[in-house]
Amino acid sequence: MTAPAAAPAPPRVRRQAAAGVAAVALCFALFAVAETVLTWREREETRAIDHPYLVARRADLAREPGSTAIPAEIRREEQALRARFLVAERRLAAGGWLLLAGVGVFAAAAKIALAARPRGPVPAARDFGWDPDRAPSFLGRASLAGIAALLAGTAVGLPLLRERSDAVESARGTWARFRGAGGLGISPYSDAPLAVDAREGEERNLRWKAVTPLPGLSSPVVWNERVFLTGATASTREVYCYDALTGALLWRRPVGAGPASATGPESVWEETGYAAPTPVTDGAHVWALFANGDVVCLDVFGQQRWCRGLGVPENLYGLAASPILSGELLIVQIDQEWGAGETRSALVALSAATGEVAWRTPRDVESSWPTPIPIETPDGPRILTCANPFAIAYDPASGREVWRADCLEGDGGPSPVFAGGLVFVVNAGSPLTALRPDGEGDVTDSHVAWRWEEGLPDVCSPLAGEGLVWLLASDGHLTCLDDATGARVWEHDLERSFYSSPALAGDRVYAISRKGEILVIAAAREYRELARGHLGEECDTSPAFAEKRLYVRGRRHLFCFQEGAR
Amino acid sequence: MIARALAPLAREAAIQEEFRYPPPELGPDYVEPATAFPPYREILPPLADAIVLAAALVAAAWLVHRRRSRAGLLALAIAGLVWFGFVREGCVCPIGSVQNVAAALADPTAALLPATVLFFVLPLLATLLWGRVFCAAVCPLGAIQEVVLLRPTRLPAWLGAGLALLPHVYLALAALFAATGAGYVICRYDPFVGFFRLGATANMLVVGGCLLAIGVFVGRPYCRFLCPYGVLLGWLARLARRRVTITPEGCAACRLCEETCPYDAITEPNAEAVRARRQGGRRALVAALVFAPLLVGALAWCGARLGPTLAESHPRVALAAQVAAEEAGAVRETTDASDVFRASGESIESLRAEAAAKRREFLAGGALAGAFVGAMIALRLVGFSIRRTRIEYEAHREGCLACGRCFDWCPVELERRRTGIAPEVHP
Repeated sequence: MTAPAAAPAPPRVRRQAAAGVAAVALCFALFAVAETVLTWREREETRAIDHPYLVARRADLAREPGSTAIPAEIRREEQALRARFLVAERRLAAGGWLLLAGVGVFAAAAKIALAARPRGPVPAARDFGWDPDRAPSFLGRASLAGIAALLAGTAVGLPLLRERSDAVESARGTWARFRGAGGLGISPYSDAPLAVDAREGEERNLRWKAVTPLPGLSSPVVWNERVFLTGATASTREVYCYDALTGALLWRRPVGAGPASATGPESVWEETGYAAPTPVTDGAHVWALFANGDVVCLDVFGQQRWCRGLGVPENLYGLAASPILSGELLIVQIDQEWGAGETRSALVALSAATGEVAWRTPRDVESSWPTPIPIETPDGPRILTCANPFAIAYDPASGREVWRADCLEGDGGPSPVFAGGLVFVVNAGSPLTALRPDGEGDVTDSHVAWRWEEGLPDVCSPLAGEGLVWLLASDGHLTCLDDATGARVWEHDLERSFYSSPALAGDRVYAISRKGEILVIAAAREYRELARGHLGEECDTSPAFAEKRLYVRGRRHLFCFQEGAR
Repeated sequence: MIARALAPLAREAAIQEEFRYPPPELGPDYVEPATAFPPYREILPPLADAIVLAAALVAAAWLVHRRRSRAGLLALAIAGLVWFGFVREGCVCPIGSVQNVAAALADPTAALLPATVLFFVLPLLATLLWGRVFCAAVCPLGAIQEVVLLRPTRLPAWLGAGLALLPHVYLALAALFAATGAGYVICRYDPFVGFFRLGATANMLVVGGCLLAIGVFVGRPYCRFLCPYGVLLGWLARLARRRVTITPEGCAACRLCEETCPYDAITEPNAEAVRARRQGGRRALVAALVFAPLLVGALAWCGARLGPTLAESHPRVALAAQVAAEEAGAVRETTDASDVFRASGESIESLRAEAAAKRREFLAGGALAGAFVGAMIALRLVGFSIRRTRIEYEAHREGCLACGRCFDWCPVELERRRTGIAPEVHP
């Protein structure tokens, strides 16, 4: 006798059973989702690599490197975290499989339940549907056009949005030291504003102006979104950091005393002040030098890293030479009066990171105020200095003197420049001398390319570029020479007094008078004044440039000009 | 079989587990042992996967054209989901192979494995012979959506017309990125591979989850409105030697097939409408043909304009931008890539030149991609204007995914199955 075959379940029973299974599977899947989410959070919280507790303990260890308890605690905690992490990983994998199983059973049961529904009657004719072959409605074409317009809009708009975002948000450009890259006074940008004025009610292209708390003749230096400046009195020395976009004073840091830090000088020549050297920055740090011989290093957030006193220099007009960076070294030119038949002048190289003296080379020269410049010669890199009576080139690695030229007399203010393969050195008491930068020993007779003896500056540094050399005397006499031959191209009396060194931006020369007038002159072989503006206050500092912007420090304010600002 | 297949994967995972994290801080005296990597073991050689793919395609064709079995197709789809999805973790897949081919066409020195070529070609060949049988029951991405589809809802025709353009855009961009070496975006943004591998970024899991949630109500949203390989399959399906039929016998015009198709891929008889609209169709055709070159040119221009922006996603262009920002001091932190670059000794100038060359490639590639999309829009407009006469309900050659649902609902087909004799039909 055989057992009768089991009859298939009626559709209604099958549908209800499948619906029940689907409901249970759905609950199970939702439970698996919740479990997976919780486990995922657990796993994220136990990542040892960036766990807040371990990060904090590692910072503690950095402060107490000799501690033995902290490493042991870090190891113990890290091991515990890793164990929890791996457990969470395994639970996550298991949860994933359970979730998939739940979803799979739910989908299968739901399909069975839906398939067991009674079939309806033959459907009535419908009035819409998808038929790619049929002539589409107006909305169909409009939809296609809409998608095409969306694509075109994205293609056109995305680059525009990107350009706009770049223009609005970023402040670009570096002018990291006195007279910018290489100390040449040449802007890498040619988009500085032409017409500028900061006088009340007559502002032109003035983006912002900000008060400078303490006086100083240091010029601004710029590193993207930050502008650095110094100010000082006899008793207080400060470094300032401004927002390059808004002029907001981001921080103002009084400089603390360091080893051998001096309290003097009690008085300095008024036109030099206590903060004449321009700071130098590498974008992460800023180094500043003050009249008392203190050199300070701060990070870009204003935290003092180190401070070292080089002693108050015996210098008639006060300390004015700006520090420069050469690789890992901070180079400071400290030239002073002779003392008891011995030289006290020296070129000093400090470790930029620690302030330790790397080398110190005595110099048999008088007091001086020019800032040294780095130059590249066929024989290697050199640091070029000017003082009475020598222009001297040093090896930046060792401080060894490489060559010297006896070509300077009197009090030296103008810094040297380097262009067209020639070094230009000048002083009010000696001619402008163009020197070839290679050689060894005394090159006075062998390396002079040409000399020029009229309209010589005593404060403003020369400017060389575009095949020309400009000399701006303190009385406003501006002379333009051919840099290859030294022949005069043109000269013009600006009829104003100048201490600010001129700068070149594109095809324009910017010169700022002591009264604060800004003259823009064509960098060409004939004199042509392009524009004239005014700061509204006196100015003895040199301008700085960044992309689209011009920064100038006046007597009381720091100014930022930008085309179209106001 | 599956358990045996999964076992090596589990072992691999356990071995790799210890290498996923930085070594613990064990003190200065601890000597880190040399890392030993176990040799990679394949479950199957890549060519064997291609053979499995070919067998699955033949089986799907048999189920669609001979057996005409919806249940069989669903079972094969689930098997495909398990094997190509969960076991093989979605790689290599024919959809992604489009990028390998594009990269090889742009750079003949780029590696193109035989298995990858087969994965690219076999589904196309099968489509040319039998229609979209790959989509029907072999593709794991299609299968996972097929499984979750419970309450299909018909989209308005106008919305479907617009969304159907997106796969062409995706195909153009994917080919552009692959050809320029910027990356394989189809793989990077595969919405379901995270489920297959039980791990992905939270964003991709959310995107995949959302697509599956939409897929409960809208039939295969990824396949119809995103899949770039589907574009190629659709073209070849129009030329297929043997097309999918709702019933091999006469149509009763009952509309049950149209009601049951979740992909809006059943076209209705239109003989009357074609006669009525012939004159208007000619005018629309002329307008579309005149408009086509303008459309192609305009979108080519848009693509060229977008190209340099897209180029920023190329790793070398991005690296050049990062290094330039570091040089200018615009960024404080270096990246791993920029650290490696600096350690390599390669010059910044050469990197800059390479980035500039890539931007030019993107400019030209963007123009080509734009022109392609423009041409696709123009072809659709032309297609809208051409009316073919149909006298019965048919599966649309390009849009039909050969899922077989209509087989089980067609009364003529059901009667034929029951009696073995084709019934006489009076529409």
